[in-house]
Amino acid sequence: MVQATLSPIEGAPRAIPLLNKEISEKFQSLLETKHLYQKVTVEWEKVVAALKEPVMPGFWRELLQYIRGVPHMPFVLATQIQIARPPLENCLGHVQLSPVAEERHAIL
Amino acid sequence: MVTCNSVLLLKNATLFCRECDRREAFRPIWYKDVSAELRQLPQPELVRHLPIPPALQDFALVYQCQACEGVPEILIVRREGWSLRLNGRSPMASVEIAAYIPKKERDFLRDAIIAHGSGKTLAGLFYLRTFIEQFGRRVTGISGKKTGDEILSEYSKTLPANVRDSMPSLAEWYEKLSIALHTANPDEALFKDAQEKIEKHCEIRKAMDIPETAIQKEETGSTDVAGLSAG
Repeated sequence: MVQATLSPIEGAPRAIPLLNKEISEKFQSLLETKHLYQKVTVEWEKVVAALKEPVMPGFWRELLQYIRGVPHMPFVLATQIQIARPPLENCLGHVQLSPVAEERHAIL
Repeated sequence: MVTCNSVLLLKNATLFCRECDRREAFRPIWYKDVSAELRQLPQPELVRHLPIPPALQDFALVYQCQACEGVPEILIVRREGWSLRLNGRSPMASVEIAAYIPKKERDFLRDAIIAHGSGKTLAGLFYLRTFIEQFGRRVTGISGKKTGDEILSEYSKTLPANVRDSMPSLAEWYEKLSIALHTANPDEALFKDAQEKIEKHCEIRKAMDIPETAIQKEETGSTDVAGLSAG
């Protein structure tokens, strides 16, 4: 049981990390366990419940005001690939991986 | 108000690789938010009307097997509100099939699982029945116009008497599948049961080392597996 000690302004920034974790888990499940035309559902209510837990109940309404725009946000694609392979002739080394990977490659 | 973005993180995924013929780690090597690109189209020039709701996003994702580093696979994922649906993939999905499933009929079982997984259970039931029939035909050597009952009755005779009663009967499952097909009933529970029993049957065959080729007895015209059938 988490003690409710946070103010709404302290609790609200946890919304995106919690949501991202939920999206990531569901997306992984979609790729690895589902077939064509099957779907997974991101449980926003679960995220909200986890968000409310450490916030004092009297401030929940205010907290929900802070995060009201989150469900309407687009999902931004990103990758965790850290190291790009050196470019090779006629192979996928030419494929741009991600800004992160590009930067890492430049450093290497 | 919270304004930073929610992120769909593309990580390595364990997918079936046709080249390796097993599940392997695939790495995301390219991606695109297609809807974001479409929203930027110069509409008056290319399209007159382009309704893309705000909560709709289409993602094109390219993954490559890290074991064989073969031809990449492309997935199309659509986000609608909070749902993420796998709407397309190239090449078509494949699934891992246990080694004890007979090789020659393996694709029928694979197609059955894919069809069922894609929501086409009736087609999946048909593939399961086809698997049974084709396997029965090969083992018994029966060709031409024969009913499934006749083929599987002969097939049953090829099984060693001491294990025949302890393994799921292909004839019984052929009949159950036929009933569902004749009534066009996409029975999901039947599919799962039939798949499990067919696999179990094949597993027992493999464990008991039962040969897949029958010996035709020229004198009697009956079918037998050397030294294994009853009587």
